[in-house]
Amino acid sequence: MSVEGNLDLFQLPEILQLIAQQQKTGILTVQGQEDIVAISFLSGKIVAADALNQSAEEGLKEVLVSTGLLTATDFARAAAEQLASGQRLLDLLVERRYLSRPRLLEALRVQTRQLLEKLLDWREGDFKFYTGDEVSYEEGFVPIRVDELLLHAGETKRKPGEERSPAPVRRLVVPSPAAGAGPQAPRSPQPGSAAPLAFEPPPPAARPPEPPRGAVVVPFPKLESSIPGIRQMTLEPSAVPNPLRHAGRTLGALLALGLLATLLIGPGRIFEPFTRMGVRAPGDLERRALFLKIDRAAKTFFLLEGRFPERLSALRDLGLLSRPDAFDGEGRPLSFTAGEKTYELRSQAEGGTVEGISRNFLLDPEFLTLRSNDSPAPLVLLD
Amino acid sequence: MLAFAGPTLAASAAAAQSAGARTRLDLTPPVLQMLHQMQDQAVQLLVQTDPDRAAARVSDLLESVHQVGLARLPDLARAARVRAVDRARNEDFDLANQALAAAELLDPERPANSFAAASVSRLEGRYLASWGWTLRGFVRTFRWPFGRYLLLEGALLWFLWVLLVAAGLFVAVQMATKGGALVKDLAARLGGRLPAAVAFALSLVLLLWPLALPSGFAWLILYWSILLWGYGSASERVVLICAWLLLGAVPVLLAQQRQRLDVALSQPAMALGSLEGGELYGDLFNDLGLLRELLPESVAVRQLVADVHRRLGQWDLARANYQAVVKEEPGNSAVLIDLGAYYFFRRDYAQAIEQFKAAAEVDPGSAVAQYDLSQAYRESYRFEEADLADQRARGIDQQRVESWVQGSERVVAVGGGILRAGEIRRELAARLRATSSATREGTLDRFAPIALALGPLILAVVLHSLRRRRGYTEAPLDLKLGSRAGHRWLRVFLPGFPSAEVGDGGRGFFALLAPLVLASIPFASRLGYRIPWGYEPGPGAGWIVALVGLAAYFAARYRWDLAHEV
Repeated sequence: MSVEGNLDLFQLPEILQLIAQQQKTGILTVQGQEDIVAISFLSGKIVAADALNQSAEEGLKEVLVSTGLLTATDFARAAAEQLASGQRLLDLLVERRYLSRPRLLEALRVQTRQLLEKLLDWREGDFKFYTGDEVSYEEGFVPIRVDELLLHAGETKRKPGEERSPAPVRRLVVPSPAAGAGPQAPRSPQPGSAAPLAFEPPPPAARPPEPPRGAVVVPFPKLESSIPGIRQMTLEPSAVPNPLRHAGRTLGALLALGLLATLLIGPGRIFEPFTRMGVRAPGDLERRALFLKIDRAAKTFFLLEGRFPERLSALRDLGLLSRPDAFDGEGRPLSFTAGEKTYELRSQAEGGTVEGISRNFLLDPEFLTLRSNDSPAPLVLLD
Repeated sequence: MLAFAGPTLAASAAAAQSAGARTRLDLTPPVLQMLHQMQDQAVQLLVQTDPDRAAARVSDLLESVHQVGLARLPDLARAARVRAVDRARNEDFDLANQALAAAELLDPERPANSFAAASVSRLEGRYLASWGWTLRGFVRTFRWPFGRYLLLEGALLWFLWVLLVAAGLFVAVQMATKGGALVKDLAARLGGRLPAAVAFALSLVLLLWPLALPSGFAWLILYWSILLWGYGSASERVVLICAWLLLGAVPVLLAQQRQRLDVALSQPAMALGSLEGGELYGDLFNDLGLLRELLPESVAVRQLVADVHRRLGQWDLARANYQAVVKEEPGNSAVLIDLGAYYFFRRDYAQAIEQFKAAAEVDPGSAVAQYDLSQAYRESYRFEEADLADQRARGIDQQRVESWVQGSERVVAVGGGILRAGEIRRELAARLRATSSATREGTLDRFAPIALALGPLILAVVLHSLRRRRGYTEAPLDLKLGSRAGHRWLRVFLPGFPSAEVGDGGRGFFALLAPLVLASIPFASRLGYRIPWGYEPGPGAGWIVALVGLAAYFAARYRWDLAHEV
């Protein structure tokens, strides 16, 4: 037996939720003005969907090309090969290594979801649900939960920046014969139970579905032929179990964080490993450029104040240095010690310098005293 | 400046100084007196609060510096900038602007003047003007030879850093997307004999052991890139190969940069650059003396030193050096002319004519030689020969001769020493190479780049050829095809991740590179070589560029994700 009605009475989200809630197995057909769609359910989860007017190849092509899993050229070549060989396209894509089977299944899942999301927009049409014990679907297909579908459809329709609203569905309230409640009483799903939809008598298991009068119903053989080679298989978990996926992600995340941390700690440390291979890293050159900068700043301070600053921060306050100048390229702080006419600047990494005002004619009065090796007298130019 | 241990030029210079070598350039009493006068003028300028007197001191200083053939006083300009901002902080904006004007006169067109002006404008509350000055400061950086040089060398270092980190992040993303499959395969290999939990733990140990090595983090990235090679697509393998080639190229590029910068950051090169830019800074005479000490046999240095003596008016010292140069290079017309000028001023016109004639013979196209010759003939009352030489000079370059006549220049000196700055830098570099090769240890550094580039590739290919028979577990497409609400945001904010899931190596790498470039801009000063601006531009501009750029980048990713949603 079947459940049927039109979309004026029940909207599709309500119907899908009902089937999911009652964990039904069977096929739901929806006939709209332009197309007919058949959805296969296994224990309340969607395992396949097919439209009469859009071939599975077209939908699959759209997904594979838009995700970058396959180029349009490759897909056209595969389609041509399929025509020539008569092989199932899905098998051919995997066998000829256009893409791997897990990738193909994931693409098929997206294609199914897209088709269903389009279907959710339908406001007019008739539906009919055929219950059964088993349905056919692609091997390894990860079933789509109805709530997952509705949530994603809601997200997709929501414009960017729009507040998130609950999924646009009403909960269908069905009578519970056991409780003897009225038609508005809620009914809890019974996991694992084979209870029929509440407003239909339970169908005989062996009886094939009958098309209602005046309705166009896609029979099971038609669905199978539209997705070539669909066969009944058991569900398979994904190729990589979740804990291992998390392990990979954690390792990758830790490595990325470590790399980004060098930006804050000391970017120059990236080059340190090269020093261990006999290649001199630029750290000491960076320090020389930094020491030159600090030297000029310190001597400017001396020019203004007649002494060297007690700390490097004094030079920063004057605008002569910036905050990072108190650290070398590897992020190690510099030590600065001022004397009367000299200062000592030292890096924790290696090396340092003692600088002073001697040799500077603007700062050191003694520089301008005549030395023994200076020329005694200049040439006097009469002109 | 003293510097670090190692075979550097600065270390050699330091050794020369510490050995008590005679480093300072010889200065005669009149020159010392002039410098003393400048010292006094500088002090007066810095303590001066009267704007007219301060302006007069600036004029005096500039006149003094022009007397020695130079034009800039960068030390005093730095002090003036500090004074300007200090006065602006005390809300004395008139004095602040006058100090800024003084800084611009003392060291024109320097970026630091603009940065200081930006600070003053900001303190005045003129924020738009402040941004204008900051922008102008960065533009001026490209007209400042030393700043531009350090900026470009730093940019190379920054670029290498960004590429290396982007390559590291690429490996991290590969691990995040394909690591699960890698761990699964490793555990499966070990699982035959061990319990699952032990196999898993052992797999993690096998993945993380490089951390125990020195610089383990870097080795870990390299190791993972080799392990993940088999799981990558063709384009991802191309990116990994490029990353390994980059690893090989980095030491070579760093070594070449080291050779350039070791010279550029040395005191003698600093002195050369200052002479080229007309800068008189406090340590100039010391650094020139150091140059002479480092390259005592260099004819080019001798000519440069002779020119400096001539500019300072120390003609006897100049002549001794010129004569030494002529002895080595008899065909050096510039030195012959300068030597002729010396005799001319000594009123030894016969000697002067001899030198000028020799210069004209060596370089018949020299208008200076002919002009100076005409002047020497004229002083010797040999007017006919003077007129002939004058005609020849005008025939070569009428315009310049007119300018000399109008400038009442009795003789023109050439100053060819500074024109040999490039040659001197090459000699400094050669001196450095000689020092470096003398102290080089082992030969590993020669083979390290090749090992870094080819080693991982060979290992990866060998490992892949051994592993491929067993097959690789397929990595999932969790994020690329994820339909949950958070998946979109993860696709947007985890660049490179969706591309890694579908194996688009090029797009994945550039998706990581772009935000990394933007995020590193505020830290660029720590990534490259610090530029001695003389007044800091502040971090604001870098942060604004980075934040606006990152916002635009992630907005573009969001739009792209919406447009390509599946």
